[in-house]
Amino acid sequence: MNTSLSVITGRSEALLSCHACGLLTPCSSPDDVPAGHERCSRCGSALHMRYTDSLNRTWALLITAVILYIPANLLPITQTSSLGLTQDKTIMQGVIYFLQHGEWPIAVVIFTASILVPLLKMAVLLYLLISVQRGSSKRALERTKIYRIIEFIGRWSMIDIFVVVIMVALVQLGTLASIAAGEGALYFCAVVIITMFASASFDPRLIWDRCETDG
Amino acid sequence: MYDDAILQSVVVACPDCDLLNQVPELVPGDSAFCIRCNATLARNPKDGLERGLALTCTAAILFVVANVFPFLSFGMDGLVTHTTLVTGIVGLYNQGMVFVAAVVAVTIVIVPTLVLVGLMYLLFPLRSGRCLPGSELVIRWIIRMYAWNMVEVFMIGIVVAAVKLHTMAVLIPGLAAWSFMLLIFVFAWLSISVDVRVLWSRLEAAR
Repeated sequence: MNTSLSVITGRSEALLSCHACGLLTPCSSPDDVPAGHERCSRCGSALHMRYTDSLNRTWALLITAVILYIPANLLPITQTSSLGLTQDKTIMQGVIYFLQHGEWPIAVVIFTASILVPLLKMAVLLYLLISVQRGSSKRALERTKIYRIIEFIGRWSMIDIFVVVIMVALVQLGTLASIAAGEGALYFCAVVIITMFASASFDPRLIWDRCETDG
Repeated sequence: MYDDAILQSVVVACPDCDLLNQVPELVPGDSAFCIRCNATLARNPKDGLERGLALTCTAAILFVVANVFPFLSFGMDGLVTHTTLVTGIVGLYNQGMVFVAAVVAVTIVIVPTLVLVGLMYLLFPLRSGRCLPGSELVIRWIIRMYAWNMVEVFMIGIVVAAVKLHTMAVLIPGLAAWSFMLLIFVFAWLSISVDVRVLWSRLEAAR
């Protein structure tokens, strides 16, 4: 775009980088190539200068996740029945239960994976989206790093869902004791999946595009 | 032996910041990073494809064991239940949690199976310089699916569930639990032993 800059990027040289194999393909202009119009000659993947509709898609998924996060925390994630008594527990009640019973390492694991990580992930995505849209060129390296962190940690939120699955499978002793998944599990599972899609649809190169146009 | 194109110097756009980097020739065991944002640009794993293939086969064997054998046995007042992975998924499905059951099935059973089968489909013939039809598609799908393999997260789930339940019953970890434990390390090792760029250059040479 601007040849006076010292920073040479794929975009400034009008080169499309294949997201699957890394091969560079020259294109006519540095502006986005519409989906499906050009394909990588080596691997056949569709080529884009940036992810298609990255900001809009990330916004849509993020807002959905924030909305679903509310029932995920308010509705019970497990339903324990023992000798005719049924007890519903939300994620936070589970954490408190373990704190009260002195099992603090488990309380910390569940709190981190189920409450802290999803919140952190949504907050970081919000910050990245707003900073990119405002055209900020500050702290690009730090923003890229936190993006990589949330990409990495997102999947670990699934711990609680897996714990529920295991307990459902194990504790099936009829009237004596049984555990069922609650409605909250459905919403929580959706939050994890949707935030994973949200961070995958965010293109970190957008963070750096602003730095180059600022010179 | 190491005649990959990855060893030749090549210009690559950083996947995270789009900076054009000159990636130098890589000695086996070396990696290249973006000079601006430090993203990993390329890796030349030691032992070429051999190590990746060995780890893929190891993971496949452990994975079969993890799915077939019970991972926890649960005893309470003389009643003992043995649980395999499939029992848990079927249990959720029967409770009407179809979506959650599907997500668990995809992340713990289907994706790891497809990734391992796909890697074997690529690596066995590539080892002798050949490739099977549809290899490009297989690599692209492996890249796309990789983040959805949650076997190691499941292992932590087993530990948490065991601690949760140990006060109310006797828990005996089964063969599958140990397999899951080993799979964490094998999958982690596998992901640094196979580099997609090496696969692409080998595939180009084989065509």
